[in-house]
Amino acid sequence: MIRYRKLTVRGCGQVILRELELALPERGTAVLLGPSGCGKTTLLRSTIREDEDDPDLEVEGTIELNGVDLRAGSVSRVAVRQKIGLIPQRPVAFPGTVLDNVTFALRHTTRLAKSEIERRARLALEEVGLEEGLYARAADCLSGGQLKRLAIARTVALEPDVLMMDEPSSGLDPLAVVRLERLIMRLSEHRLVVVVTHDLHMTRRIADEVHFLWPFQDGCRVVESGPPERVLELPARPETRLFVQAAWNGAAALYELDEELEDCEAEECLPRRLTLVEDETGRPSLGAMTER
Amino acid sequence: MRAASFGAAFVVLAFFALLVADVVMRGAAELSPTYLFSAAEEGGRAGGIGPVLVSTLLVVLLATLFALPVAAGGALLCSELLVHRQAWKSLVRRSFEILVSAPSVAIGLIGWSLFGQLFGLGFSILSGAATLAFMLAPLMALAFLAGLEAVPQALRAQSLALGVSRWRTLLNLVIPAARPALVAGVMLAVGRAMAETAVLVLTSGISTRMPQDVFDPGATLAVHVYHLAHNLPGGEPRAYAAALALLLVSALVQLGLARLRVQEQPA
Repeated sequence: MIRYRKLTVRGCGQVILRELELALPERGTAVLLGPSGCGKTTLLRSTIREDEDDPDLEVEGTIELNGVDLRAGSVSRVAVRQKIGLIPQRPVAFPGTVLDNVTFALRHTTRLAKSEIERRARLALEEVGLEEGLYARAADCLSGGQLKRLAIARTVALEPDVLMMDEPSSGLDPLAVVRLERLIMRLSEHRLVVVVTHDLHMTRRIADEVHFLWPFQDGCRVVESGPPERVLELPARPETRLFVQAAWNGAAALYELDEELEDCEAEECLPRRLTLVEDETGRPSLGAMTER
Repeated sequence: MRAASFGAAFVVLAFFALLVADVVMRGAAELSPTYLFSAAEEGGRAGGIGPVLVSTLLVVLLATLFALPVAAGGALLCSELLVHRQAWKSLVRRSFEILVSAPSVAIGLIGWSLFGQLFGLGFSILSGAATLAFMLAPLMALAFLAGLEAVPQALRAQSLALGVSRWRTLLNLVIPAARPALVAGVMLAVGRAMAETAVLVLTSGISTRMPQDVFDPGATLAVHVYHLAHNLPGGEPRAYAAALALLLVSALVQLGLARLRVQEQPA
């Protein structure tokens, strides 16, 4: 499991995350939700110590994986990145074939035999569902969905304990998203998969737990955590409610809740069940989702 | 717009064709295998250009070899190490830009006093190549830098995120991706070296004797053409022949380098 303690991250001259506390389980899918700019990507990047590649990022606090402090001097950056794989929002194809792309990191970070490297690469490609006919094709000829899968295969081939995906469904068509969701669910059977997304439908289908982050004036923090049904249907916090309402009901909800949030004090904002109604059909949208 | 573009392209091509036609027509009569490979007589007015060809290849090769590590180092410094230090990066880049635009005669004079006099190399191929390298290094560095910067940062970041070291990422991902631009930088520099006269008149000299080693003086083809056309009465016909040889050798070298540009599939 991953545990963040008093994680403060500064970047571009401001505090992005402030004293963030978060614990993620050993396996399953944890979804990080929150408005753009609330530090979700920064959280993922800090976990694999990207602050060491980017002097703009400054990280304080501790991040533990199964009790080991990932930021300790005795733990190498390479070791962290072999345990935790980060799949970026916009993957870039490496030069060469699809298979080259997957063997690349294995060739340059391990001393495995060539045959073993290829075996693991093929296994990873199979796991993400890229057909064998594509292996010899130039990677920059792949479609957006295939490229996302390739990026996942590149990471899965290293057999990490944790996979982190930054907005995996962005730019994909609905069918590709469903395929991706199935892949995420399969991958999360044996490991922890952390997903950053704005897609609440996807969240509802794949998440075992949801963590909601909110950008406060002095930095971002986790304001609410729980199972997806609870957080998405009965948000305890006004920030979450605003976000969820906006996602289901669109702009109309936003104006209403914006005011509510402005003069909201803790007691006034008690949990209440949202009447999530889709404008056109009149059916509760969450009900519709549960049916799926 | 279209017509203007075609017109402009036509003017450039027509000028180039005219130039080549002129050199071919006036030089072809003298050009023969004997001319290319035999020794020069009477300072080049008779005999061939064998020694000059050898000097040319030596100067260009050495100058490129001297400039290459400096240019590669400078470009890598800017694109990889100073990537987050804008002030230093632009300082290094500016210095390259200033050096590139420095007049070659001035560089020739500095080279003469530094290598020729201070280091006691006199007029020599080594002195010429070292001075020429000063001119080529910033030119190559800027071309290399443009190539390296065109490689998306995301490519580097995603390789690093897989735990691949900075060094291996550079060697196995960034440089192969930038390869066509890197080769183009070398081609540009070699072309410049082939054509250079002012620097070399002052450093490697105008001797047409066969150099015994790199400490001997030796005229390059461009210098030889210049010398024949301007300083030797009756040298003009041979100047055209030598210019044609220069065009041919340059074209051959560039064609050879261009083959390196083609991206191989990495194994």
